[in-house]
Amino acid sequence: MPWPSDYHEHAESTATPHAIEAEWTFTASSDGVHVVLPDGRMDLIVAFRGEDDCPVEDLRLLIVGPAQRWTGVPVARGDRFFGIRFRPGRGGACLGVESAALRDGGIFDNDVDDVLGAHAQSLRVAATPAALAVTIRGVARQRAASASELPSPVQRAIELVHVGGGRLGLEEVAVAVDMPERTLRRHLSHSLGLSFKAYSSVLRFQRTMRLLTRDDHPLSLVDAALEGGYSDQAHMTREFRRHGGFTPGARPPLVLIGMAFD
Amino acid sequence: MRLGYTLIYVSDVAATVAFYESAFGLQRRFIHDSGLYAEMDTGETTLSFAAETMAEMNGLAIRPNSPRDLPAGIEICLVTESPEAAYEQAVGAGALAVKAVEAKPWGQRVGYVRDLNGCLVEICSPVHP
Repeated sequence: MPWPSDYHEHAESTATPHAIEAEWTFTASSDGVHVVLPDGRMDLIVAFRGEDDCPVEDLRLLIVGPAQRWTGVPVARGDRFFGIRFRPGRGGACLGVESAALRDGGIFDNDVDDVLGAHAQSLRVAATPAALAVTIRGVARQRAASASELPSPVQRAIELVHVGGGRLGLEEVAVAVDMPERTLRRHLSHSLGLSFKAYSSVLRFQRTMRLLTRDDHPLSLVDAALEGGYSDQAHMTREFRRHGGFTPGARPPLVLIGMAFD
Repeated sequence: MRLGYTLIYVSDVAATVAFYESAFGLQRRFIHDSGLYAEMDTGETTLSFAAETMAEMNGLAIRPNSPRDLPAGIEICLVTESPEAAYEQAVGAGALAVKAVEAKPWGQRVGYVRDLNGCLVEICSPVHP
């Protein structure tokens, strides 16, 4: 996967609440537009400028909703980002927002204060980037620790969707977790913020992209379409255009955020 | 080339190991500290269990086994001189009784259960040539 070298990610440790998938940082080393590929997760992000021991400048708060489509984020050299990515289905509860309302969108700037209240204020008063990093981590962990858990059949259903690489049907997932299909559909849409179908499609896209771009022995287009669960190559191409804005034969664009980490 | 392992992806490795011990009398060789992988002491061909999440980590997509679903078209065959008693023990330990032990025309005695994850397990006597 072509990670930009400006991006760094720390996978969750045992000290991190389970609802948090990763903490990440990004510093733009050049001007340009970074493509954010969809991963269906939600992120809490602070964007700012300033060296580690200097004052924080141009601070922006962002809550990014679950995406199924790529977006372009313009960045200038020196723009910095700290982000917290929540596990699938957990972002809404942790941040206190309706995840489906943020689909392919988000909450920005002063609107974030309405959602996060005193937590937003504590981010705004962080004196330095170093303090900001500590604060955003603390805010996320506190919110994750007090957020309600998903009902265990729903948690298990999300796990199954992942284990199946987005290729299982809703009906068989519903049978496996012993929940009526309609009830499960509603629970998944509510927690993930994307429909079962859309979320599964994002997972197929992500997995197939990895099969095509891994360093050793990437799959051919024909094999990737088959293993990824597409009916044919044309189907795979359509889905790649829709989710990522590029075709399977092309190198994926550099990504800023939103990629699950191998 | 030789067959080294049979590996089953399961939702709960520790529970599966415990089940295979109580239902089938197998012994564990080890459970990894992570709880994501275990091997049973099954002689030359190892039976091992890995967490389903390992499949995703390995870049694989699988259809997870489920006791509520049709079993996958594959079975684990366990051989014993007393399949009737083994079958009773398995069912007593919570295995789903699928087909009681019966004699085959070639002299083998064969029964079928499904394990806690819904996988088919054949319990049979050795084939004596």
